[in-house]
Amino acid sequence: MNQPALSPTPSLTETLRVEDDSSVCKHCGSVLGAEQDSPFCCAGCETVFHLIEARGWQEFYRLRDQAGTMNQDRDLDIPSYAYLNSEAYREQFCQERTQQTYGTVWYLDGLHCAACVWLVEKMMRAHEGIGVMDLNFGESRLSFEFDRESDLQKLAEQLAAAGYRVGLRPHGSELPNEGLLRLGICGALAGNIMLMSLPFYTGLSQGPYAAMFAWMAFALVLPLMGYGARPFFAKAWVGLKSGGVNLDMPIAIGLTSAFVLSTVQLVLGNYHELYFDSMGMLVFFLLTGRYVQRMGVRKAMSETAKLLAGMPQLAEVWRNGRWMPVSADQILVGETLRMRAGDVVPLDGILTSETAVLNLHVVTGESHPVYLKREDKVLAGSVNMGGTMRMKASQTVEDSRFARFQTLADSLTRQKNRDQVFERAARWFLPAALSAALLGLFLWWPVSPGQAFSTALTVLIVVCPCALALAVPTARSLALGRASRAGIWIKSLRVFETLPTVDTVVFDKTGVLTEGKPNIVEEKWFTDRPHWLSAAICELESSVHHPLAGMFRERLEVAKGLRQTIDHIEAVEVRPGIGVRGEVDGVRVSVGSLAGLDGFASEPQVQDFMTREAASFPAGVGIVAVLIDGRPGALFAVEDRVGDEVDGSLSALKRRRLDLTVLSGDRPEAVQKVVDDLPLDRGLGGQMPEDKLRYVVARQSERNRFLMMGDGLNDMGAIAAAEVGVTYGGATDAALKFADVVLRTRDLSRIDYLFDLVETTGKAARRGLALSLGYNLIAVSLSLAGLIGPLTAAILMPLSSLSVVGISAWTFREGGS
Amino acid sequence: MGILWILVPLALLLSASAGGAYWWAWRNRQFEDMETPALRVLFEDAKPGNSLLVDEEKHERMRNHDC
Repeated sequence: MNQPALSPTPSLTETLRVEDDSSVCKHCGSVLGAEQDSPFCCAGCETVFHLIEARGWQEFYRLRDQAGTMNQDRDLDIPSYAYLNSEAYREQFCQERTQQTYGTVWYLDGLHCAACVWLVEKMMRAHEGIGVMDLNFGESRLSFEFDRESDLQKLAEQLAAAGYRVGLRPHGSELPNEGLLRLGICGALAGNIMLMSLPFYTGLSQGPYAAMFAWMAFALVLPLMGYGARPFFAKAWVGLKSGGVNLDMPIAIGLTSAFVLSTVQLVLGNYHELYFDSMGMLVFFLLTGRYVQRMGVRKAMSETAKLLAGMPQLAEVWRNGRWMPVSADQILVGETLRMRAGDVVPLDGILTSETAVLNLHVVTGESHPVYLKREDKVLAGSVNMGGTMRMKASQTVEDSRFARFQTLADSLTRQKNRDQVFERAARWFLPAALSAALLGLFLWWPVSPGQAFSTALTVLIVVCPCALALAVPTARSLALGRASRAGIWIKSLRVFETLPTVDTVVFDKTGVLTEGKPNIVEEKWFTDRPHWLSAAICELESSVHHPLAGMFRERLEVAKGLRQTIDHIEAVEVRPGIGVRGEVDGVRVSVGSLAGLDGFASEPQVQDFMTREAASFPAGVGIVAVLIDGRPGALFAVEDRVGDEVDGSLSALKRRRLDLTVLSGDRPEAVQKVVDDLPLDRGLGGQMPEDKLRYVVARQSERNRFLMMGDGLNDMGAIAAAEVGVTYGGATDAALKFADVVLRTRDLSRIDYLFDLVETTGKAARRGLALSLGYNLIAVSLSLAGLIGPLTAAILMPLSSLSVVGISAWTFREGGS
Repeated sequence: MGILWILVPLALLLSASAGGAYWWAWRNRQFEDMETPALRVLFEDAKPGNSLLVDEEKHERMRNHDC
C-alpha cells in the first residue's frame, strides 16, 4: 500500500503535545512521580526516545498505542555484554557461515507486541554488519548472521536499553520439525490409500479394475511403511535389542503382519481381503497423537528455555598487570577477581577486600545478607550487594561446591527419568496379543492351515494397540494445553505418573513461602528525632548497599524532604556479622543486630534495656537495634513477609491430606514462626543444600514420595531428587534446569491446580484405556470365531481411536478444571 | 470405464504434487513461525517519504533468503 493509511504522521513532539499527559513517561507510558521534572521515568526511556526520534521511527509509537500493552516493570539494570565480542562467544555459540560471517541465535526477553517486533527488526537492520535476520515472536528467538567486525556488544546494549534483554543458549538442531513433515505426508498417503480401497467396500472384488486399485494401494503403502512408520520400527528395534518391551513392539508386529497378510492376498488375487487402508489410518492416528503431545512438551521446554537463556559471565581477573575479562571456566586457582555490585560470584574463593556484603539467598537460603571480612570464604553463587570487592580464587569453577553439587543433581535427574507406566502397559499387552494369535492358530488348524494363519494374523491386526497408544497421549496433550494456559509449564511427562503418588510437599521458605525481602513489622523509638534518625539509618545502610536501606528509603519517601536534614556522614565502619556505624552530623549512630550490641554500646545497662524492650516483639522476627551516641535510639522487628495467597493455597493442599514440610537455610526461629502462622506440619531451619537433599532421599527409602518446590541453588539437589520438582519463573537457572514443572509466577495455588489437572488426566487416560481394552476383547473374540473380516476391522479400528479421543475431551470438560 | 486407467494415475500424480509442495514449504520453514508474520502485516514500511535507515542491499539479501 503506497497511500498512507492514516493521516500524515505528525512530528513526534507534536504528537506528544496533543496527547500531553504530564503524569506519564513519554516513552514507556509508566506513571511518573509528582516531583519528577523530566517527561521520562528514567534515563533509559529518554535514551530510547531520542534514538527513535533521531532515526525517524515514530511509527513505533503509533504501533505501540494501537497494540495496547507494554511491559510495566521494566528492569533497566543492563548486564555486561562484553562476552559477545569475544572469540569464545564465536566458538561456542556461533556457526561459521563463510570466512567472515557467523550465524547465531539470541533469546530476547520482553517482546510483547507488534511494536516490539518492529523496533527490534529496525534496530537490527540499522546496525553495522548484520546480515540475514529472523525474529520469531512466539519463541522470542532472534537468529541472524553477522560480520566478524560487527560490534555485538553495542547491539545487545542497545537492545537491552530499549527493554529487550539478550540471553544465550547453546542452540540445538537447526532442522525444521520433522514430525510435521511425516505427519503431513502420512495424512496424504492414508487418504489416498482409503480412496483406492473404496471400490472394495462397494463390492468390487474381481477383474482388471480391482487389480489396478489394489496394486495402487500397495504402491502407496510402501512409502507409508518405509518412511511414515519408521519411528515405530526404530523404537521397537531398540527395545528388542535391549531386551525390554515397549509399546512400539505390538504396533510394529501389527503393521508387519497386516502388510505380509495383505501382500500375500494381493498376490493370490483376493483383492477384497486387504488391510492397506487400516494400516494407513493406524499410522496417521498414531503419528497425530504423538505429534500433538510432543508439541505440548516442546512449548513447555521453549518457555523454560526463555527463562534459562542467560549471558555467560566474564569475570575481571588481574593478569599481566591489568584487569582482563576472562570467562569463568578459564580462571586459575590463586588469581584475583574483581566483582562489581550485583555480580554473581562464579567460584569459591577467599575475600581479599576488607569487607563485603553478600546475599547468600540462592546458595544457603538465608534471607538476610551477610557481612564478610578479609580472609572469609566466599561461595560461588552468592551475589555481591556492596561496592566493588576483590577475592582470590581458591577453587576452579568445576571444583566449586556449587558445581560438584550440580553434577550430583544431574545424575539424580537421569535416574528418575527411567521408569515409564507406558512400558508397563506394553509388558502385558504384547504377550496377551501373541497368545490370542496362537490360540487362533490352534483353533483353526484342524479346519485348514491356510485359514489358521489367516485368523492368527487377523487377530494381530485387530488387537493393534492403536486405541491403547492414543489414550494416554491424548489425555496428556489436553492437560499440557490447559496447564500452559494456566501458567504451568510441564517439562517432563513423568509428572503425570509420579504426581499422584506424592504424599509429602516440601517447600523452601525464602522466596517461595515468603517474598524474599525484609519488611519492618514492628518498631519502637527512644528518640525525639525519629525523622532525622530514619534518614541517618537510610544513609548509613545505603553506603553498604544493605537492603534495609531500601526499606527506610520507602518510608522516607512517604514523609518527603526529610533527607535534606542530613548534612554530612563520615567514618562509616562495617562490623562483619554485626552491623554498621558512622558519624552522622557529628553524632555517632550504629545500626546492627541485638547480639552484636556490645561491639557498639559502651554500657551494659543499655544492652539490658534493649534486650528487655525487644522481648515484646513477636517470636521469630529479626531484630535491628539502633544506638545514638551509645544510648538507645530505636528497635525494629524485621520479617520476610509471607505472600498473601500462601495461606489459602496451603490449606487447599492440606485438604488433599498431604504432609506439608518447610526446609530452609534460614534461622530456625524464623522458620518456626512460618510454621506457626501457616498450615504447615513441620519446619526445619538451618538446612544446608546437602541437608535438604539428604532429607528427601532418606525419606524416599521409607516410601515417602515428594513434591519439592524451591527457587535457589540450595534447593537444586532436592528438586532433582524429588519425584516432582517444581520451581517458578523468577528462580535461579539451577532450579529451572532441574525442575519438572515450572510455574510462570510464584503462585502456590497453581500446585493445587496441578494436582487437579493430573487427576483429571489420569481419569481420562483410564477411561480411554478401558474403552480400548473393551474394544480389543470384543474384536479378538469375533476374529477368533472367524466372524470378522477386513471390512469390519477397517471400520472398527478408526472408530475405536476416535472414541478414545472423544472420551478424553469429554472427561476434561466434565472435570472443568 | 476405460477412462479410469488414465484418471486414477492422474489423481495420484496430483496428490503427489501436493505432497511435493508440502515438502517444499516444510523445507523452507514455512511452518516454523506461525505468529510473527501475522504481526509484520501491521508495519507500513513501504510508505514513501518515511525515512527509514534500511540498508537496501541488506534488504535485497533478506528477500533472496526468504524465497
